[in-house]
Amino acid sequence: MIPEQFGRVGVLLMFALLFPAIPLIASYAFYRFRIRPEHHDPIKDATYECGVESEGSAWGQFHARYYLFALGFVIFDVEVVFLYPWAVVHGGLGFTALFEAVLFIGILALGLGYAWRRRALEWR
Amino acid sequence: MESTGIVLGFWLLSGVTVASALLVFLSRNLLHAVLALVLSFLGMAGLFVTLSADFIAVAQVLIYAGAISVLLVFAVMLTPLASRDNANSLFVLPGVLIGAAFAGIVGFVAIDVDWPELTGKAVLGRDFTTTVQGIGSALLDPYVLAFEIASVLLLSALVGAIVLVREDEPA
Repeated sequence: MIPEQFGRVGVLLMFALLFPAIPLIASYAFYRFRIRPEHHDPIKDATYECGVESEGSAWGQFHARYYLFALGFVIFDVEVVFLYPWAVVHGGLGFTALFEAVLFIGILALGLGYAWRRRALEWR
Repeated sequence: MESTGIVLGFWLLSGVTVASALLVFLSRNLLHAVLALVLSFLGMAGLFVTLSADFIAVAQVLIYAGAISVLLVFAVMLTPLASRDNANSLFVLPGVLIGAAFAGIVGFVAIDVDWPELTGKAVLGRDFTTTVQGIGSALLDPYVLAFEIASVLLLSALVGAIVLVREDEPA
């Protein structure tokens, strides 16, 4: 039963990857068979249709301050890995399991509180 | 023999994994190499599923495809533009040697080990088993102390990161 569920996920994944490719392939095919014209225009080629005009390249060097947010994400991501097996079994284990997870999250919440207190979550 | 779906999935996933791993060092753009590496991680997660190691697959997606790749992308985006091409370096020859040695060891083990073959009922029973339940109950009952200490470890990592970055701030 479980491999079928993973198989379904795999089929959905393949469909999800193919689906956005369909308009790209169709557009290219229409261009190849001369169904659609190809006229470039600076406004047509702009990355965003509306909003603030983008300036410069997106390939520039980003501010090193972002790194703290990346580290924070990594730490809470690892927390999720520990909570995942807990989430699968906690239903059968009752109140102790709940307490253990609350303690686990509580210890990490201390860290979040510390980050907040040290104003590490602010952009300065 | 396993079911055809798993065999098909295995070949598809290993194709994706190997192709994207090739892209990692064939790509001239370092960021494209990182993105191909993420795809390779995801293919590996799928391979873990075909080995009925579902918890490792989830951990692979969350840790490697999630956390490690975020760190890699940040490391690339934070470096100056000039040093961002996936250029050849002096490490090509040692890299090839180490890779060949590793492939030799793994290949030797794969050929040398007498892999047990399951037949009949055993296949149906052992074709696919989930591991998450076992890991979950082990984490919550006998190893609960390790479970809680892991959160203390993560807390110290978070506090350490903040202290390193923000050492000039008053508390």
